[in-house]
Amino acid sequence: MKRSLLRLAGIAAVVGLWAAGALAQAPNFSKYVALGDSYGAGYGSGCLVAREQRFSYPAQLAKSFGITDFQQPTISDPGIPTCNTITSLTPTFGPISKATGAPTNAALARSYDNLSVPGYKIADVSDKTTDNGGIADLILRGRGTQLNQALGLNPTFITLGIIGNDILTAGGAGFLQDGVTATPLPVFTTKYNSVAAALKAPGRTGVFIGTPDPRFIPLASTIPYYVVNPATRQPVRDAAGNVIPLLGSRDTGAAGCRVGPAGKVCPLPPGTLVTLIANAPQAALGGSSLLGLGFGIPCSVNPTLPRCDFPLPDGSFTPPATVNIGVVLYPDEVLAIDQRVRDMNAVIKSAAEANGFKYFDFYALSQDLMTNGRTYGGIHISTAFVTGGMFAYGEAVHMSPIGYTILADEIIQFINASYGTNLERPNIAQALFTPDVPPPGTTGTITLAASLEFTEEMWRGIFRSFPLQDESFDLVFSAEPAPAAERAAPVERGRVIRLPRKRS
Amino acid sequence: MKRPRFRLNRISLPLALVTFLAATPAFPSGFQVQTQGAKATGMGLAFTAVADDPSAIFYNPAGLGWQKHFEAQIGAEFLTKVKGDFEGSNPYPGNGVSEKQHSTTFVIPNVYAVVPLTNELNFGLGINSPYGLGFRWDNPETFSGRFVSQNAVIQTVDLNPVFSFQATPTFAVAVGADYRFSKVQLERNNAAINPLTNSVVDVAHVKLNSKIQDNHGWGWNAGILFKPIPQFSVGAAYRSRIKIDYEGTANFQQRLTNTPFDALVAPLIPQGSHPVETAIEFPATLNLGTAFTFPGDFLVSLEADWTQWTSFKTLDIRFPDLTGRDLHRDDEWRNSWAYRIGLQKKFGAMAFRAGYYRDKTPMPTEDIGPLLADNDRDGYSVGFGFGTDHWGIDVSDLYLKVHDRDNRGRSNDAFYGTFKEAVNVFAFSLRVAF
Repeated sequence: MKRSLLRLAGIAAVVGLWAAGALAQAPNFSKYVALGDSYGAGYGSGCLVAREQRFSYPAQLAKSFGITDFQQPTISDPGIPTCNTITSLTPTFGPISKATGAPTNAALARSYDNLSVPGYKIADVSDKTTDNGGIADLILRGRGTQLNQALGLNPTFITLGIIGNDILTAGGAGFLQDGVTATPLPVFTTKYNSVAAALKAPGRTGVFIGTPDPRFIPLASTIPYYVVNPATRQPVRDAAGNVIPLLGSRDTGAAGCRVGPAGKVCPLPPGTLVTLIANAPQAALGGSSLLGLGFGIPCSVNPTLPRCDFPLPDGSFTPPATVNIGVVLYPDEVLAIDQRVRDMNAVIKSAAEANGFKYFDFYALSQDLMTNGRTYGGIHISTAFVTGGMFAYGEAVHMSPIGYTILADEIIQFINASYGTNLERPNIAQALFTPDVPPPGTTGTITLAASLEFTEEMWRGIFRSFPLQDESFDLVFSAEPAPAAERAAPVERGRVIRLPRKRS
Repeated sequence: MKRPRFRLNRISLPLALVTFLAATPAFPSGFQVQTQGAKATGMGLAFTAVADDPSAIFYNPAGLGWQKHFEAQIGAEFLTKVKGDFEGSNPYPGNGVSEKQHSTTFVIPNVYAVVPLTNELNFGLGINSPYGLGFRWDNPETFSGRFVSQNAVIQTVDLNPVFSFQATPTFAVAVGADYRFSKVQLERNNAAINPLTNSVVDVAHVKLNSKIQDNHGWGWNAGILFKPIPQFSVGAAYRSRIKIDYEGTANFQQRLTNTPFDALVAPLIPQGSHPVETAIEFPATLNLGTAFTFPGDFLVSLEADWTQWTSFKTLDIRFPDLTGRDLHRDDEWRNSWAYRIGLQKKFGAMAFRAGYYRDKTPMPTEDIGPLLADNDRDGYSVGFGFGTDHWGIDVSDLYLKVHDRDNRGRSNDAFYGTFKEAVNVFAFSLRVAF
């Protein structure tokens, strides 16, 4: 009898410990706070605006959690900065208005539950208190850093979504250089671990979101490495039926290098990424785009182009503070950026696991979305620029309400799988069938220059939301290599624009 | 004994086909339609070991071995979808979305004739529609599943000549040919993202259609029936697979948004009519039954029916003159079983019948959607018959409750929700014998 009682007591103790362990792991969704960057903020169409913010993944997670008082720093139309729209199906893009929107929830007497700030790197989460009147100040409102405000809300569940500003700028600038276009990995590691440790608290659970594949964003994946007929959008082929590579300045050892008017040019090898800025009309080019003038296009394809056989510019850094924006990422650069993303994701995963949080593999999701897209009731959504639906209006980096809903859906499914919960998935139909347009009367008459794919202003917008490591860097935009015969003419080199210096 | 000579009247094939195509079955078992005689329907379709009227040509042709006179039977089933509802859930089409299937009554006629050729050898001919599908949604231009299917129709007409041979007074076998005509019709809209609004719009309507006379295939069927004593019988019936390769036309029609987007979409839509091809392999079936007659003319029939639905693995739709338009759909259906019990109590010339069956669905949850939503079903039937040696009439009613099916989290079409269906079948048959 005594032995039986002891055995029963033992079983009860084991069951009790197991139950206690299970309860310790069970998430409490009663107070949810989102830390992050532009993706968490619901930034799309080059702006923050309430009609898109309501589809941010934190807002949709909160709804799934059953939270009815989830507060965001909402902005009225036409957004801050002024939102972009598509103005023709050429396509052309432009701002929806000459005005800007205004905060509509600034009187909230506490910190916002969605504290995500566009442009934030991991260091900013714990260190930055102001951006001198910029978008961060609209969200932080002088109440302290993102991290401190989040902790002050005493959340039971958090998401930390710093998904790309520490590395993806390398894609926008066209080169990877620590301290210029990327956060050095040791710095990233230290900062991430510090933020993760600060977030750790008894009874608090959450999800850390990784960084996607750099090829996920249309900025880097839209223009192929070979010549495309702009009229038909089909590849131009040689007599043997092969595609004709665009030309760059770097000799990668591939056959076909030759001396062009601006020096040596070589075919871009397969796997090279050409960023959308190659197709954007630029003031420095008299309103034409690089590809429109013939940069990168062999004269054998179209000898009438004034800059045929000129190389597409490669990015570089000129000390002490000049960033020469390139439009070509060679395969080794793509590989290096990709490896850095993987390394950063390893840091995020490790930090999550060490502090009681879960790691959401956005990298794997982005590859899945690139390959398969998503289909709902026969409606296919892809990552294609402009027509795919997953990315915002003419946006080369940020997702649309449809894209953010897909991301929210994936995170919710991940939470359900990780924690054994049964949270309801978001309603994608609302995002699919709700026109993402400003209310009538918001827009004025806008006169725009025609563009094939992208605009200079939109490109500048990317660097507003994905700032370089030091915002005081000069960004030099399409420094056109002068033709050999014109190199003596310094005016050619002078046709660059410099974005105004900003000090943080 | 002088046997009546069988003489098939000059019934034109087209007329017969048109008569049968007036009917579109309203419910699928998969898309199998087993209600092919009022007597069998009244007994829960447990008729393989009974097979004592001309509809035996369909249920078990070996039963013709005991039918020693010229007999003809005509009948029809009136199928009414009494419930065809869908309640949506997230992520698509979303909570609160309700849809309805088009409700109407369809008529499926059937004709059977039995001609004794010798004392042991009989010839029979059946014309019926053993497979069919009519899955049409109300308000097709706003139906939330319109980009998967607005209307799906499969129609079949079988010509089924059989020979039965009663080898001994207690045992008969039969074999026959099954020549199946069929048509398929599918309709749906195509969607695209309108970049001007970054939202979904309808950009085209696609209708695939084939003609009944152009698409047909052969199969065979066989049956055995053993009655060692008058009070007991056991039988089996088999039908082979029949594959039909369909050729038809696809019509594409642009849906206008009245925005500049229409001009961008127009060249991408192959306006007009284009050839289209597909194939369906109708499954083999094996029906196993036994029947007992207890004192007082009380008959109990038990049956298990197996359908080889694994034949329906994929649905491929090909457009020979269009590039990049071919459609492929994995279906991966499972073989299914149905279990039936039928009762009959006779009072002289009158017979009262009842039946029940449980039919297991062949469709995996992942496959159910706007094109077809099937599930396990319970069938409850009652019937009445009155007849003499020279004529008879049978009527029956079958209520089929399809279990509600929720595909949340498991839909290949990513069309989530709960499908609810119920069908009522009223059947009658008239029989004459000479």
